[in-house]
Amino acid sequence: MADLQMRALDITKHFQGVAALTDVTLEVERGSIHGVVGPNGAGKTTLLNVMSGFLSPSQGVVELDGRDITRLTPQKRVPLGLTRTFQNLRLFGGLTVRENVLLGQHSHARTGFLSLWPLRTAGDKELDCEADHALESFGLTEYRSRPAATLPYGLQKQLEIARAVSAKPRLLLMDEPAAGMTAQERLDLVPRIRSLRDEGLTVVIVEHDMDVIATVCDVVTVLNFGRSLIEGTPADALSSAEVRTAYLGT
Amino acid sequence: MLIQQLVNGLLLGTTFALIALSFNLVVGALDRLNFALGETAMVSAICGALFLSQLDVPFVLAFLAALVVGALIAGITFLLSFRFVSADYHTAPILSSLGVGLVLTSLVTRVLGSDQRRVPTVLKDVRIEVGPLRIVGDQLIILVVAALMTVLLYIFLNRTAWGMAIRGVSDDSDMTGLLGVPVQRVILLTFVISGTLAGASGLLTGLSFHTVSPFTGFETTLTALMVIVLGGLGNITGGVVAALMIGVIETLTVAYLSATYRDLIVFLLVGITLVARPQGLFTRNTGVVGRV
Repeated sequence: MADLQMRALDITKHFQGVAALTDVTLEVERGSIHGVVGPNGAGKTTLLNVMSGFLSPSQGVVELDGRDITRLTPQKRVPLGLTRTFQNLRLFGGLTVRENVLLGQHSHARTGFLSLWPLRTAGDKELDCEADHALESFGLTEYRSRPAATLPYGLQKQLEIARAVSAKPRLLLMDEPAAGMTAQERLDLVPRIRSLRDEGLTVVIVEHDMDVIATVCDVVTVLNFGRSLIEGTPADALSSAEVRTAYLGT
Repeated sequence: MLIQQLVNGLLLGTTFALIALSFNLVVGALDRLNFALGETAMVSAICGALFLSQLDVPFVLAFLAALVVGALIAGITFLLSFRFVSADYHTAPILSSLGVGLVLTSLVTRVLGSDQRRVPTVLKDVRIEVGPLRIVGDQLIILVVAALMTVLLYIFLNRTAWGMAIRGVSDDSDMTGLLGVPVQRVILLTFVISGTLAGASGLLTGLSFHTVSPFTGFETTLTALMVIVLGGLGNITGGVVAALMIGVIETLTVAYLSATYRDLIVFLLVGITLVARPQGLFTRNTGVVGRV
Protein backbone atom coordinates (compact mmCIF):
# COMPACT_ATOMS: atom_id res chain seq x y z
CA MET A 1 0.00 0.00 0.00
CA ALA A 2 1.46 3.27 -1.07
CA ASP A 3 1.93 6.03 1.49
CA LEU A 4 -0.83 8.45 0.50
CA GLN A 5 -0.38 12.03 1.68
CA MET A 6 -3.29 13.65 -0.06
CA ARG A 7 -6.32 12.33 -1.78
CA ALA A 8 -9.06 14.03 -3.75
CA LEU A 9 -11.78 11.41 -4.07
CA ASP A 10 -14.50 11.42 -6.74
CA ILE A 11 -14.45 15.18 -7.04
CA THR A 12 -17.29 16.73 -9.01
CA LYS A 13 -17.57 20.47 -9.43
CA HIS A 14 -20.38 22.25 -11.23
CA PHE A 15 -20.40 25.92 -12.11
CA GLN A 16 -24.09 26.73 -12.59
CA GLY A 17 -24.77 23.55 -14.51
CA VAL A 18 -21.44 23.38 -16.30
CA ALA A 19 -19.45 20.41 -15.08
CA ALA A 20 -15.84 21.52 -14.64
CA LEU A 21 -14.86 18.25 -12.96
CA THR A 22 -16.64 14.91 -12.98
CA ASP A 23 -15.64 12.12 -10.58
CA VAL A 24 -11.96 12.99 -10.64
CA THR A 25 -9.76 11.13 -8.19
CA LEU A 26 -6.20 12.18 -7.48
CA GLU A 27 -3.98 10.26 -5.11
CA VAL A 28 -0.73 11.92 -4.16
CA GLU A 29 2.01 9.76 -2.73
CA ARG A 30 4.26 11.16 -0.03
CA GLY A 31 7.54 12.42 -1.42
CA SER A 32 6.45 12.35 -5.04
CA ILE A 33 6.23 15.01 -7.69
CA HIS A 34 2.78 14.62 -9.14
CA GLY A 35 1.86 16.36 -12.36
CA VAL A 36 -1.64 17.27 -13.50
CA VAL A 37 -1.83 18.07 -17.20
CA GLY A 38 -4.51 18.54 -19.78
CA PRO A 39 -5.63 20.88 -22.53
CA ASN A 40 -7.16 24.27 -21.76
CA GLY A 41 -10.42 23.96 -19.91
CA ALA A 42 -9.70 20.42 -18.75
CA GLY A 43 -10.28 21.41 -15.11
CA LYS A 44 -6.69 21.46 -13.89
CA THR A 45 -6.91 24.72 -11.99
CA THR A 46 -10.38 23.87 -10.70
CA LEU A 47 -8.96 20.68 -9.22
CA LEU A 48 -6.12 22.63 -7.61
CA ASN A 49 -8.60 25.14 -6.21
CA VAL A 50 -10.64 22.32 -4.70
CA MET A 51 -7.52 20.75 -3.19
CA SER A 52 -6.31 24.03 -1.70
CA GLY A 53 -9.76 25.00 -0.45
CA PHE A 54 -10.50 27.98 -2.69
CA LEU A 55 -13.47 26.13 -4.12
CA SER A 56 -15.60 23.60 -2.35
CA PRO A 57 -16.51 20.62 -4.51
CA SER A 58 -20.12 19.88 -5.44
CA GLN A 59 -19.40 16.28 -4.53
CA GLY A 60 -16.42 14.37 -3.29
CA VAL A 61 -13.94 14.42 -0.44
CA VAL A 62 -10.51 15.96 0.00
CA GLU A 63 -8.23 14.24 2.49
CA LEU A 64 -4.84 15.23 3.86
CA ASP A 65 -2.96 12.58 5.83
CA GLY A 66 -6.19 10.64 6.12
CA ARG A 67 -8.08 13.58 7.59
CA ASP A 68 -11.15 14.97 5.82
CA ILE A 69 -10.37 18.61 5.02
CA THR A 70 -13.11 19.18 2.42
CA ARG A 71 -14.79 21.94 4.43
CA LEU A 72 -11.67 23.69 5.73
CA THR A 73 -10.87 27.17 4.45
CA PRO A 74 -7.52 27.63 2.67
CA GLN A 75 -6.28 29.53 5.74
CA LYS A 76 -6.98 26.53 7.96
CA ARG A 77 -5.19 24.18 5.57
CA VAL A 78 -1.91 26.10 5.77
CA PRO A 79 -1.05 25.02 9.36
CA LEU A 80 -1.76 21.42 8.29
CA GLY A 81 1.15 21.73 5.88
CA LEU A 82 -0.68 22.53 2.64
CA THR A 83 0.42 25.62 0.69
CA ARG A 84 -0.08 26.73 -2.89
CA THR A 85 1.28 29.15 -5.44
CA PHE A 86 -0.82 31.07 -7.93
CA GLN A 87 -0.82 31.13 -11.71
CA ASN A 88 -1.38 34.87 -11.58
CA LEU A 89 1.08 36.00 -8.98
CA ARG A 90 -0.14 37.06 -5.56
CA LEU A 91 2.99 38.75 -4.25
CA PHE A 92 3.00 41.75 -1.92
CA GLY A 93 4.11 44.22 -4.55
CA GLY A 94 4.90 47.03 -2.14
CA LEU A 95 6.93 44.88 0.24
CA THR A 96 10.53 44.05 -0.46
CA VAL A 97 11.56 40.66 -1.75
CA ARG A 98 12.94 39.69 1.63
CA GLU A 99 9.82 40.88 3.46
CA ASN A 100 7.69 38.67 1.23
CA VAL A 101 9.70 35.68 2.39
CA LEU A 102 9.66 36.80 6.03
CA LEU A 103 5.88 37.11 5.93
CA GLY A 104 5.78 33.62 4.45
CA GLN A 105 7.55 32.36 7.57
CA HIS A 106 5.02 34.02 9.79
CA SER A 107 3.44 30.87 11.17
CA HIS A 108 6.87 29.82 12.43
CA ALA A 109 8.03 33.15 13.83
CA ARG A 110 8.06 33.48 17.58
CA THR A 111 7.11 37.15 17.34
CA GLY A 112 3.54 35.96 17.60
CA PHE A 113 0.65 38.35 17.43
CA LEU A 114 -0.23 37.59 21.01
CA SER A 115 3.06 38.81 22.34
CA LEU A 116 3.38 42.51 22.90
CA TRP A 117 6.86 42.63 21.44
CA PRO A 118 6.64 43.72 17.82
CA LEU A 119 10.26 42.98 16.94
CA ARG A 120 11.56 39.63 15.89
CA THR A 121 13.10 37.85 18.86
CA ALA A 122 16.42 36.02 19.16
CA GLY A 123 14.74 32.77 18.18
CA ASP A 124 13.74 34.41 14.92
CA LYS A 125 17.38 34.98 13.98
CA GLU A 126 17.35 31.41 12.76
CA LEU A 127 14.39 32.27 10.57
CA ASP A 128 16.28 35.27 9.23
CA CYS A 129 19.05 32.91 8.17
CA GLU A 130 16.52 30.58 6.58
CA ALA A 131 14.99 33.50 4.70
CA ASP A 132 18.38 34.49 3.37
CA HIS A 133 19.04 30.88 2.46
CA ALA A 134 15.73 30.67 0.58
CA LEU A 135 16.53 33.88 -1.28
CA GLU A 136 19.90 32.50 -2.23
CA SER A 137 18.65 29.17 -3.49
CA PHE A 138 16.10 30.93 -5.69
CA GLY A 139 18.68 33.36 -7.04
CA LEU A 140 17.06 36.38 -5.40
CA THR A 141 19.76 37.56 -3.01
CA GLU A 142 20.78 40.58 -5.04
CA TYR A 143 17.15 41.75 -5.24
CA ARG A 144 16.36 41.31 -1.54
CA SER A 145 15.72 44.98 -0.78
CA ARG A 146 13.73 45.75 -3.92
CA PRO A 147 9.96 46.04 -3.87
CA ALA A 148 8.63 42.76 -5.25
CA ALA A 149 6.57 44.52 -7.91
CA THR A 150 9.71 45.87 -9.58
CA LEU A 151 11.17 42.42 -10.31
CA PRO A 152 10.97 40.89 -13.79
CA TYR A 153 8.13 38.41 -14.17
CA GLY A 154 10.30 35.29 -14.08
CA LEU A 155 11.92 36.35 -10.80
CA GLN A 156 8.53 37.17 -9.32
CA LYS A 157 7.53 33.58 -10.04
CA GLN A 158 10.68 32.37 -8.28
CA LEU A 159 9.86 34.63 -5.34
CA GLU A 160 6.38 33.23 -5.06
CA ILE A 161 7.79 29.72 -4.82
CA ALA A 162 10.39 30.90 -2.29
CA ARG A 163 7.67 32.48 -0.16
CA ALA A 164 5.45 29.40 -0.33
CA VAL A 165 8.36 27.18 0.67
CA SER A 166 9.30 29.36 3.63
CA ALA A 167 5.93 28.55 5.19
CA LYS A 168 7.51 25.07 5.48
CA PRO A 169 4.63 23.15 3.96
CA ARG A 170 4.71 19.39 3.65
CA LEU A 171 2.76 19.50 0.43
CA LEU A 172 3.07 22.27 -2.13
CA LEU A 173 0.48 22.82 -4.85
CA MET A 174 1.94 24.74 -7.79
CA ASP A 175 -0.38 26.35 -10.32
CA GLU A 176 1.40 26.60 -13.68
CA PRO A 177 4.82 27.53 -12.33
CA ALA A 178 6.37 27.60 -15.80
CA ALA A 179 3.75 29.86 -17.40
CA GLY A 180 5.32 33.10 -18.56
CA MET A 181 8.86 31.91 -17.92
CA THR A 182 11.60 32.08 -20.53
CA ALA A 183 13.11 28.87 -21.86
CA GLN A 184 16.14 29.31 -19.60
CA GLU A 185 14.00 29.95 -16.52
CA ARG A 186 12.05 26.78 -17.29
CA LEU A 187 15.29 24.84 -17.38
CA ASP A 188 16.28 26.31 -14.00
CA LEU A 189 12.89 25.46 -12.55
CA VAL A 190 13.25 21.70 -12.95
CA PRO A 191 16.25 21.19 -10.60
CA ARG A 192 14.69 23.57 -8.05
CA ILE A 193 11.50 21.55 -7.87
CA ARG A 194 13.57 18.38 -7.60
CA SER A 195 15.60 19.78 -4.73
CA LEU A 196 12.37 20.76 -2.92
CA ARG A 197 11.30 17.14 -3.17
CA ASP A 198 14.72 15.99 -1.96
CA GLU A 199 14.24 18.20 1.10
CA GLY A 200 11.15 16.17 1.92
CA LEU A 201 8.39 18.14 0.22
CA THR A 202 5.61 16.55 -1.79
CA VAL A 203 4.80 18.59 -4.88
CA VAL A 204 1.70 18.71 -7.05
CA ILE A 205 2.20 20.65 -10.26
CA VAL A 206 -0.61 21.79 -12.49
CA GLU A 207 1.08 22.65 -15.73
CA HIS A 208 0.50 23.29 -19.38
CA ASP A 209 4.10 22.83 -20.38
CA MET A 210 4.66 19.17 -21.29
CA ASP A 211 8.45 19.38 -21.22
CA VAL A 212 8.53 20.49 -17.59
CA ILE A 213 6.04 17.80 -16.62
CA ALA A 214 7.85 15.07 -18.52
CA THR A 215 11.23 15.91 -16.95
CA VAL A 216 10.28 16.56 -13.37
CA CYS A 217 7.27 14.42 -12.47
CA ASP A 218 7.18 10.91 -11.06
CA VAL A 219 3.48 10.48 -11.74
CA VAL A 220 1.22 12.27 -14.16
CA THR A 221 -2.55 12.53 -14.18
CA VAL A 222 -4.08 13.66 -17.46
CA LEU A 223 -7.40 15.48 -17.36
CA ASN A 224 -9.65 16.12 -20.32
CA PHE A 225 -13.10 17.74 -20.27
CA GLY A 226 -13.17 17.49 -16.49
CA ARG A 227 -12.53 13.76 -16.40
CA SER A 228 -9.46 11.85 -15.43
CA LEU A 229 -8.10 10.28 -18.61
CA ILE A 230 -5.09 8.34 -17.44
CA GLU A 231 -2.58 8.18 -14.64
CA GLY A 232 0.94 6.79 -14.83
CA THR A 233 4.58 7.61 -15.36
CA PRO A 234 5.17 10.59 -17.66
CA ALA A 235 6.47 8.31 -20.40
CA ASP A 236 3.43 6.05 -20.30
CA ALA A 237 0.82 8.69 -19.79
CA LEU A 238 2.00 11.17 -22.36
CA SER A 239 2.52 8.59 -25.07
CA SER A 240 -0.84 6.91 -24.70
CA ALA A 241 -3.19 7.10 -27.62
CA GLU A 242 -6.00 8.73 -25.62
CA VAL A 243 -3.77 11.57 -24.50
CA ARG A 244 -2.52 12.18 -28.00
CA THR A 245 -6.11 12.35 -29.16
CA ALA A 246 -7.04 14.78 -26.41
CA TYR A 247 -4.15 17.07 -27.18
CA LEU A 248 -3.87 16.79 -30.93
CA GLY A 249 -7.46 16.06 -31.70
CA THR A 250 -6.64 13.24 -34.08
CA MET B 1 4.14 88.78 8.43
CA LEU B 2 4.15 86.20 5.67
CA ILE B 3 6.84 84.00 7.17
CA GLN B 4 5.05 83.93 10.53
CA GLN B 5 1.83 82.90 8.80
CA LEU B 6 3.65 80.20 6.84
CA VAL B 7 5.05 78.75 10.06
CA ASN B 8 1.64 78.94 11.75
CA GLY B 9 0.16 77.18 8.74
CA LEU B 10 2.72 74.39 8.84
CA LEU B 11 2.06 73.92 12.56
CA LEU B 12 -1.67 73.66 11.91
CA GLY B 13 -0.81 71.23 9.13
CA THR B 14 1.04 68.89 11.48
CA THR B 15 -2.16 68.24 13.45
CA PHE B 16 -4.02 67.64 10.17
CA ALA B 17 -1.24 65.25 9.20
CA LEU B 18 -1.85 63.11 12.28
CA ILE B 19 -5.57 62.79 11.64
CA ALA B 20 -4.93 62.12 7.93
CA LEU B 21 -2.43 59.38 8.86
CA SER B 22 -5.08 57.97 11.10
CA PHE B 23 -7.64 57.79 8.26
CA ASN B 24 -5.12 56.50 5.74
CA LEU B 25 -4.04 53.60 7.95
CA VAL B 26 -7.60 52.31 8.03
CA VAL B 27 -8.06 52.87 4.30
CA GLY B 28 -4.92 50.82 3.76
CA ALA B 29 -5.96 47.95 5.99
CA LEU B 30 -9.60 47.60 5.00
CA ASP B 31 -10.20 49.84 1.96
CA ARG B 32 -12.83 51.54 4.09
CA LEU B 33 -13.15 54.87 5.82
CA ASN B 34 -13.79 55.00 9.53
CA PHE B 35 -16.05 58.04 9.76
CA ALA B 36 -16.01 57.99 13.54
CA LEU B 37 -12.35 59.03 13.72
CA GLY B 38 -13.18 62.75 13.90
CA GLU B 39 -15.40 62.14 16.92
CA THR B 40 -12.75 59.82 18.35
CA ALA B 41 -10.30 62.71 18.20
CA MET B 42 -12.86 64.99 19.84
CA VAL B 43 -13.62 62.60 22.73
CA SER B 44 -9.90 62.07 23.33
CA ALA B 45 -9.34 65.82 23.37
CA ILE B 46 -12.21 66.40 25.80
CA CYS B 47 -10.90 63.69 28.10
CA GLY B 48 -7.40 65.14 27.90
CA ALA B 49 -8.72 68.62 28.64
CA LEU B 50 -10.70 67.35 31.64
CA PHE B 51 -7.62 65.59 32.98
CA LEU B 52 -5.71 68.86 32.67
CA SER B 53 -8.31 71.16 34.17
CA GLN B 54 -10.06 68.93 36.75
CA LEU B 55 -7.25 66.68 37.93
CA ASP B 56 -4.45 69.09 37.23
CA VAL B 57 -2.15 66.35 35.93
CA PRO B 58 0.97 67.14 33.89
CA PHE B 59 0.40 67.52 30.15
CA VAL B 60 2.30 64.33 29.39
CA LEU B 61 -0.17 62.26 31.42
CA ALA B 62 -3.19 63.97 29.89
CA PHE B 63 -1.71 63.36 26.46
CA LEU B 64 -1.17 59.66 27.20
CA ALA B 65 -4.74 59.46 28.48
CA ALA B 66 -5.96 60.97 25.20
CA LEU B 67 -3.99 58.35 23.26
CA VAL B 68 -5.47 55.51 25.31
CA VAL B 69 -9.03 56.87 24.93
CA GLY B 70 -8.52 57.22 21.17
CA ALA B 71 -7.14 53.68 20.88
CA LEU B 72 -10.02 52.23 22.92
CA ILE B 73 -12.72 54.01 20.94
CA ALA B 74 -11.19 53.05 17.60
CA GLY B 75 -10.91 49.43 18.72
CA ILE B 76 -14.56 49.44 19.77
CA THR B 77 -15.56 51.12 16.49
CA PHE B 78 -13.82 48.31 14.61
CA LEU B 79 -15.80 45.69 16.49
CA LEU B 80 -19.12 47.57 16.20
CA SER B 81 -18.95 48.87 12.65
CA PHE B 82 -16.51 46.75 10.69
CA ARG B 83 -15.68 43.35 12.13
CA PHE B 84 -19.19 41.95 12.23
CA VAL B 85 -20.83 44.13 9.60
CA SER B 86 -21.20 42.36 6.29
CA ALA B 87 -18.49 43.27 3.81
CA ASP B 88 -20.96 42.65 0.96
CA TYR B 89 -22.64 45.99 1.60
CA HIS B 90 -19.99 48.57 0.93
CA THR B 91 -21.96 51.37 2.50
CA ALA B 92 -22.82 49.47 5.69
CA PRO B 93 -19.53 50.06 7.54
CA ILE B 94 -19.53 53.69 6.40
CA LEU B 95 -23.02 54.37 7.73
CA SER B 96 -22.36 52.34 10.83
CA SER B 97 -19.20 54.28 11.67
CA LEU B 98 -21.01 57.56 10.99
CA GLY B 99 -23.55 56.33 13.54
CA VAL B 100 -20.83 55.58 16.07
CA GLY B 101 -19.64 59.17 15.57
CA LEU B 102 -23.14 60.56 16.29
CA VAL B 103 -23.45 58.39 19.37
CA LEU B 104 -20.06 59.59 20.61
CA THR B 105 -21.04 63.24 20.24
CA SER B 106 -24.36 62.67 22.04
CA LEU B 107 -22.70 60.67 24.79
CA VAL B 108 -20.14 63.37 25.45
CA THR B 109 -22.71 66.18 25.52
CA ARG B 110 -25.08 64.14 27.74
CA VAL B 111 -22.49 62.93 30.19
CA LEU B 112 -19.95 65.73 30.26
CA GLY B 113 -22.05 68.62 29.06
CA SER B 114 -21.85 70.66 25.89
CA ASP B 115 -19.43 73.26 27.24
CA GLN B 116 -16.23 74.08 25.53
CA ARG B 117 -13.28 72.89 27.56
CA ARG B 118 -10.17 74.90 28.11
CA VAL B 119 -6.72 73.49 27.38
CA PRO B 120 -4.31 75.59 29.44
CA THR B 121 -0.95 76.71 28.14
CA VAL B 122 1.72 74.14 28.90
CA LEU B 123 5.04 75.84 28.30
CA LYS B 124 4.46 79.42 29.44
CA ASP B 125 8.00 80.70 29.46
CA VAL B 126 9.40 79.14 26.34
CA ARG B 127 9.46 81.05 23.12
CA ILE B 128 11.79 81.20 20.18
CA GLU B 129 12.26 84.44 18.31
CA VAL B 130 14.20 84.56 15.08
CA GLY B 131 13.99 88.07 13.69
CA PRO B 132 10.28 88.75 13.26
CA LEU B 133 9.39 85.06 13.59
CA ARG B 134 7.93 83.95 16.91
CA ILE B 135 7.22 80.39 17.98
CA VAL B 136 5.70 79.83 21.42
CA GLY B 137 6.27 76.81 23.64
CA ASP B 138 2.97 75.09 22.89
CA GLN B 139 3.59 75.32 19.17
CA LEU B 140 6.93 73.64 19.78
CA ILE B 141 5.20 70.83 21.66
CA ILE B 142 2.76 70.33 18.80
CA LEU B 143 5.54 70.28 16.24
CA VAL B 144 7.82 67.93 18.16
CA VAL B 145 5.09 65.50 19.24
CA ALA B 146 3.48 65.34 15.78
CA ALA B 147 6.83 64.83 14.08
CA LEU B 148 7.84 62.22 16.62
CA MET B 149 4.60 60.27 16.18
CA THR B 150 4.92 60.37 12.41
CA VAL B 151 8.49 59.09 12.55
CA LEU B 152 7.56 56.39 15.06
CA LEU B 153 4.74 55.28 12.79
CA TYR B 154 7.10 55.01 9.83
CA ILE B 155 9.57 52.98 11.89
CA PHE B 156 6.80 50.78 13.22
CA LEU B 157 5.42 50.09 9.74
CA ASN B 158 8.78 49.51 8.10
CA ARG B 159 10.95 47.92 10.75
CA THR B 160 8.78 45.68 12.91
CA ALA B 161 7.08 42.35 12.30
CA TRP B 162 3.68 43.83 13.11
CA GLY B 163 4.26 46.72 10.74
CA MET B 164 5.20 44.27 8.03
CA ALA B 165 1.98 42.37 8.66
CA ILE B 166 -0.05 45.61 8.45
CA ARG B 167 1.55 46.41 5.11
CA GLY B 168 0.94 42.85 3.96
CA VAL B 169 -2.75 43.05 4.89
CA SER B 170 -3.07 46.40 3.17
CA ASP B 171 -1.49 44.92 0.04
CA ASP B 172 -3.52 41.69 -0.15
CA SER B 173 -5.36 40.61 2.98
CA ASP B 174 -6.49 37.22 1.64
CA MET B 175 -2.95 36.28 0.73
CA THR B 176 -1.68 37.44 4.12
CA GLY B 177 -4.21 35.15 5.74
CA LEU B 178 -2.99 32.28 3.58
CA LEU B 179 0.47 32.76 5.05
CA GLY B 180 -0.92 32.17 8.52
CA VAL B 181 -1.14 35.79 9.67
CA PRO B 182 -4.21 36.43 11.87
CA VAL B 183 -5.68 39.08 9.60
CA GLN B 184 -8.53 40.25 11.84
CA ARG B 185 -6.14 40.83 14.72
CA VAL B 186 -3.83 42.82 12.45
CA ILE B 187 -6.77 44.96 11.34
CA LEU B 188 -7.80 45.53 14.96
CA LEU B 189 -4.23 46.62 15.67
CA THR B 190 -4.39 49.00 12.72
CA PHE B 191 -7.59 50.55 14.08
CA VAL B 192 -6.04 50.92 17.53
CA ILE B 193 -2.99 52.70 16.12
CA SER B 194 -5.20 54.90 13.99
CA GLY B 195 -7.23 55.78 17.10
CA THR B 196 -4.03 56.67 18.94
CA LEU B 197 -3.11 59.07 16.16
CA ALA B 198 -6.61 60.56 16.17
CA GLY B 199 -6.39 61.06 19.93
CA ALA B 200 -3.03 62.78 19.60
CA SER B 201 -4.34 64.99 16.83
CA GLY B 202 -7.39 65.91 18.92
CA LEU B 203 -5.53 67.04 22.00
CA LEU B 204 -2.76 68.79 20.03
CA THR B 205 -5.38 70.73 18.05
CA GLY B 206 -7.00 71.60 21.36
CA LEU B 207 -3.65 72.80 22.65
CA SER B 208 -3.11 75.03 19.63
CA PHE B 209 -6.50 76.76 20.07
CA HIS B 210 -6.50 76.33 23.88
CA THR B 211 -10.05 75.11 23.68
CA VAL B 212 -11.93 71.94 22.80
CA SER B 213 -15.54 71.73 21.74
CA PRO B 214 -17.69 68.58 21.71
CA PHE B 215 -19.14 69.61 18.34
CA THR B 216 -15.99 69.59 16.21
CA GLY B 217 -15.96 65.84 15.54
CA PHE B 218 -17.46 65.81 12.09
CA GLU B 219 -15.59 68.95 11.09
CA THR B 220 -12.36 67.08 11.85
CA THR B 221 -13.52 64.16 9.72
CA LEU B 222 -14.25 66.57 6.85
CA THR B 223 -10.82 68.16 7.11
CA ALA B 224 -9.19 64.74 7.16
CA LEU B 225 -11.19 63.73 4.08
CA MET B 226 -10.02 66.86 2.24
CA VAL B 227 -6.45 66.03 3.14
CA ILE B 228 -6.53 62.40 2.10
CA VAL B 229 -8.33 63.17 -1.16
CA LEU B 230 -5.68 65.75 -1.97
CA GLY B 231 -2.82 63.49 -0.93
CA GLY B 232 -4.19 60.38 -2.55
CA LEU B 233 -6.38 57.89 -0.71
CA GLY B 234 -4.26 55.51 1.34
CA ASN B 235 -1.04 57.30 0.36
CA ILE B 236 0.62 57.94 3.71
CA THR B 237 3.38 60.28 2.56
CA GLY B 238 1.02 62.13 0.21
CA GLY B 239 -1.34 62.63 3.14
CA VAL B 240 1.35 64.27 5.25
CA VAL B 241 2.36 66.65 2.44
CA ALA B 242 -1.28 67.52 1.66
CA ALA B 243 -1.94 68.16 5.36
CA LEU B 244 0.88 70.68 5.58
CA MET B 245 -0.34 72.28 2.35
CA ILE B 246 -3.91 72.67 3.60
CA GLY B 247 -2.66 74.00 6.92
CA VAL B 248 -0.71 76.73 5.10
CA ILE B 249 -3.56 77.53 2.70
CA GLU B 250 -6.11 77.85 5.52
CA THR B 251 -3.83 80.04 7.59
CA LEU B 252 -2.94 82.31 4.68
CA THR B 253 -6.61 82.62 3.69
CA VAL B 254 -7.57 83.70 7.18
CA ALA B 255 -4.65 86.12 7.39
CA TYR B 256 -4.88 87.79 4.01
CA LEU B 257 -8.44 87.28 2.74
CA SER B 258 -11.10 86.49 5.28
CA ALA B 259 -11.91 83.73 7.72
CA THR B 260 -15.17 83.12 5.88
CA TYR B 261 -13.29 81.97 2.78
CA ARG B 262 -11.17 79.48 4.70
CA ASP B 263 -13.15 76.33 3.98
CA LEU B 264 -14.37 77.55 0.60
CA ILE B 265 -10.88 77.72 -0.85
CA VAL B 266 -9.90 74.30 0.47
CA PHE B 267 -13.15 72.76 -0.82
CA LEU B 268 -12.57 74.37 -4.23
CA LEU B 269 -9.05 72.99 -4.32
CA VAL B 270 -10.29 69.52 -3.47
CA GLY B 271 -13.09 69.81 -6.05
CA ILE B 272 -10.57 70.70 -8.75
CA THR B 273 -8.32 67.84 -7.63
CA LEU B 274 -11.19 65.38 -7.85
CA VAL B 275 -11.90 66.45 -11.43
CA ALA B 276 -8.34 66.83 -12.67
CA ARG B 277 -6.39 64.28 -10.63
CA PRO B 278 -8.81 61.95 -8.85
CA GLN B 279 -5.92 59.75 -7.75
CA GLY B 280 -4.63 62.62 -5.61
CA LEU B 281 -1.88 65.16 -6.18
CA PHE B 282 0.89 62.92 -4.92
CA THR B 283 -0.10 59.49 -6.16
CA ARG B 284 1.16 58.11 -9.43
CA ASN B 285 -0.74 54.87 -9.19
CA THR B 286 -4.28 55.48 -10.46
CA GLY B 287 -5.33 52.06 -9.23
CA VAL B 288 -5.78 53.31 -5.70
CA VAL B 289 -8.98 55.13 -6.65
CA GLY B 290 -10.67 51.88 -7.47
CA ARG B 291 -10.06 50.62 -3.99
CA VAL B 292 -12.71 52.42 -2.03
